[in-house]
Parts: sequence; structure tokens; C-alpha cells
Amino acid sequence: MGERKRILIVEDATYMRDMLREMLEQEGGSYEVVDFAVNGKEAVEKYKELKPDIVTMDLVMEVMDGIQAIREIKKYDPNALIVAITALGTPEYRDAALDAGAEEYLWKPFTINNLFDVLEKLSRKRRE
Amino acid sequence: MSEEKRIKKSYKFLILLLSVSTCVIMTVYFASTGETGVYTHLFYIPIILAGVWYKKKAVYLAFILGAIHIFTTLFFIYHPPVEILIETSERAGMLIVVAYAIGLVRERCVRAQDELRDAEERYRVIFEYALTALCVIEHGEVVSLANKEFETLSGYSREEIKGKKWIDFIADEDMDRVQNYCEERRKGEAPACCEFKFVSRNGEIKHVNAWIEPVPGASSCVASLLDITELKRKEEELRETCEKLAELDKMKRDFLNVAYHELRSPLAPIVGYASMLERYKLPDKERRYLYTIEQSARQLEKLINRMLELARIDGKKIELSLEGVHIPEVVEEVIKSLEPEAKEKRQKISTSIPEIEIQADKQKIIAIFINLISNAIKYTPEKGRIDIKVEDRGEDIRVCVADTGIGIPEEHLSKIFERFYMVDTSLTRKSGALGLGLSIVKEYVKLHGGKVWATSEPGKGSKFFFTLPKRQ
Repeated sequence: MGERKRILIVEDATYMRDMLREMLEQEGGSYEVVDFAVNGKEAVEKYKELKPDIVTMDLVMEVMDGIQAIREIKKYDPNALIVAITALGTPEYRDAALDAGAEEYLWKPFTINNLFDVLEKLSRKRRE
Repeated sequence: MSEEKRIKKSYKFLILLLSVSTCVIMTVYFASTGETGVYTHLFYIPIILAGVWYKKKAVYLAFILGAIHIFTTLFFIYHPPVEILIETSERAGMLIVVAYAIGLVRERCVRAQDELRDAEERYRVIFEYALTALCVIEHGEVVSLANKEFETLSGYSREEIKGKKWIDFIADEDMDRVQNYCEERRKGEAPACCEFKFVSRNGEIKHVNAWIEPVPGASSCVASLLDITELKRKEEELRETCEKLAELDKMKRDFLNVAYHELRSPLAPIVGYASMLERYKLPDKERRYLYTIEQSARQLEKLINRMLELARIDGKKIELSLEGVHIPEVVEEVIKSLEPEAKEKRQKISTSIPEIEIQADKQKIIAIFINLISNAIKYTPEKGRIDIKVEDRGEDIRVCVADTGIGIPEEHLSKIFERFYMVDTSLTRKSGALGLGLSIVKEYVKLHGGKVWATSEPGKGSKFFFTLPKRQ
């Protein structure tokens, strides 16, 4: 399995941050949550500082929204792996997130299996 | 008018008297003196006058005068010499010819004059009583003639209008435009109509639609102005209303979008933690609790999704992403997802579907089937039956979803596809519906160019039909 994937969680709702951490930590130590960011601006700063393997990105946030943050991170590191996680439902947002550079898109609500399916897909992509 | 006629009549009578008496006097004079010189031709003057006045009748007059002439000669000269008789007859003949000729010319002139007057009168009435304001503009500057409606439009009396400058009626901001238009009309280039602001007497601005037409062969032109102020006002009102509606619609859509996000967000930890709990070995009771939590969350998610679909349908034209859709496969997929609900009510779902693939938007076709079949399940009692039948009709397919449910009263049938419409909104209604499902079905079927309708026998069941063309 190799080393643990380092994950940065970007999410403005505390309960979502907690849940994502708990979910990630359940998976037999494959993933490690390195830090949280509560808005897009913080996410960009922390990405530069921590260089995580994967970023989970909420889209609706204060200060800087997720789409903008994805763009900034991708500008800084074109190889960044980002999963957009949002309750926004229309395909337009999905397209906007993917266009900005997100690799995957996960709709809230999701099950723990949904989350790992997406992360698996990302890891596979990275290997390719 | 009658006074004028009486004067005319007395003039005519006077001339008649004059000509008859001149005729008698001159004949007597010529006969007694035997003169045949140039003066004798003076005799024609009264006849000509009579001709002018009597038109066609002049010829009768000439006959009468001729006869008087001959008889007078015979009367005053007992045995007139042959030359005088001949001369008299000649003169009488000439007289008749001249009088006739004059009468004819005169008549023609008068007829032409009458016709001209009639025509003029006719056009005057048309001009005067037209329902548009009309005026004649001389040299593009001065108004020389205006009709009744123009008085109403401008607020000036006809006397005041006459001689007024045309540009005084045009609002400053429209001046250049109207002048250009007039100029181009004169060259025959501009389109017929031009809208501008018209300034009436008290400075009140009126919107007019103008047609300015140059009079052929003259330096004047005729302006025809239609007051469209009221029309403009209504138009403006309508535009404002439309804007307001569009704004409200946008607010509604925004609200639905935001509501959608905010309602879905708290569902995330419910579904998420429930899915985490599933990984633990739980006693049966707890597992059942967990199952209920998950089912309710999924139900809530479905309702919220429907709300969003609605917002999207309203928002803008939805584009179909077309692909080959294998109908039996889609139906099977849908039935599979709804099976737990049907099983719970021990309902039997049967299908009769030919192997057929149509060009359509797969997600929307799935939504149509999900809505119709889940409705059927919802409104059909335990152990009921649901039949799904698809017919290949060549150009299109016809789908029928029949159930043995409670049915829909006749008076509701035409309205059930309307948004938010619910047959039963009482507290005894079957809960779990928003009245959106069928309106989404209708929108999606319509988007594909199909039709949707329903028939029902209350107490026995309902049949929902829709058609979909095979190709878009």
C-alpha cells in the first residue's frame, strides 16, 4: 500500500470537518489528515506550506470560494489532487469545479464508501 | 345658400328679359331702316350672354329668339323684300349655332368645375374627419392646414395652427432625428414611419407615430400623426411588470438554489455517520434504527432534489444530452431501485416492453419513469398491481404506466401535471409528496417532443401515458 496519503480538509462547517477526519482515519491508516482550512484563502496558504497529497474542497465558503481556491492551488501546483465536496447540485457547479482543476466531485450527502471510492480513483490516477 | 340662389335666379331672369327685348328692338330697328351693316351683329351679344347663363337651355332660347326675330320682321314689314327675309333667316340660323356652341362649352366647363368641387369636398371630409391628426407642411417649415384631430392633439385652434412652425411641435431631443427623417422622406429613402415626441399647447409631451409624405409635384408634404402615448404607457407598464416578474422569478430560483444547498448540507453528516455505523457489528434493533435513519435521509434527499430540478426547469432552457437509450434496460434499472418500496406493500410490478432503443436524454428518461412508477407505488394499496407497457408505434413509442390504485377524480385529471398541484391537500392526504413529480414528468416529456396524459377510474386505478419520438 505504500505510505500514508496526506490530506488537507477544506471545509467551513465544523461537523463536516470532524466527520471527514473520522472517516479518513477509519481506513486503516491509509490516510492522514495533516490540517484543516476553513476558507479558500487559508486553503491556498496551507497547501503551499504543507504540500498535501490530496485536498478535499468545499465550494461554498466565505472569503474565498472553493472554485477560486482550486484555481489558485492549481496555478501554484498543476499536479495538485483536489476533490470538490459540495451540496451544490447543478451540473454547472460540477463543471465549474472540474474546469478549475478539481479531479473529482463528490456530492453531499455521501457515504463513507462513496468517499473512499473517489479517493481510490484519485490514487490510481496519481499512479498512472 | 337660398339667398344666393334667389339672386342668381333674378340675374338670369334679367338677362332673359334683356335678350328678348334687345332681340325685338333690334329686329324692329333693322327692319324699319333696312340696315344690314356691322352693327347688326351686336344682336348676338344678348344671345351669348344668355348662352353663358343658361348653358344647354341656350339652344332653346336661341330658337325662341330666332323665331321672334323672323316674326317681328314679318310683322313690321308687311311684304318684306326677299333679301331681308333671307338675311333674317340666316341670322336666326347663325344665332342657333352660336348659342348651341356656347352652351356646350359652358356646360362642359361647369361640369368639370362641379366634379372638381365634388372631389375637393370629398377629400376635405376625409382629411377633416380622419382619426389621425393630419396637417400640411409647406416647404418643410410652416403648417398651412390641419384637421380636427390635429387640433385635439396639439391643443391649438385651427387659426392658431395655421402659419405655426412645424418644428415647434417637435420635442428638442427628437428634433434632429425628425428633420433627418423628413429630409430622407423627401428623397424617398426613409421608411414610412417615425416615432417622436410631440409638444402640444401646454407643453405636454405626446408620443406620436408619424408618416410624412411629400405631395407629388409640390413643395409641401402631408404629415399624419397617430397619438400612441397611451400605447407607450401601457408598453412601459408591461415592460416594468415583466421586469418585476423576471426579478421575482430570479429571486425564486436563487432561493431554491440556496435552499437546496442549505437543506442538503445537514444531510451529509446524517448519511455519512450512518454509513460509518454500518461498518460496525450492530444488534438487530440498532441496525433497524440505522436503516430507518438512512431511508429517511434518502427520502429527504429525493424531495430536495426534486425542488432543484424544478428550479432548473424554470431557470433556462434545458438542453438534452442525447444518447441511445435502451428502454427495457432503463425501466429495469428504475424498477430495481424502487423494488424495496413495492415489496413492502407486496405489490406486483409487471412489464411488457419490446427491445427498443430511442434517442433521448437518459437521465431525464429515468426521472420520468421514477416519478411515474413511484407515484403508482405510492397511490396503490397493498397487493396492488402495476403494469408498465411500452408500444413501438413506428415514429414514436407510447408508454403506459397503469396501477390499481385509488385513482384520480375526473375534475383533477387536467390539472395534475401542473406544478404544485395536489389532488388532496387535506391533513388526511398521503404524505411525502410536494406536487412536483408530475410537472417534472410533463416538462421532460415536452422537452423530448412528446405528450403526456392520464386516464383514471376512481377506486379502480389510473393510467399514465406518454409518448416519446424515437429520434430528436
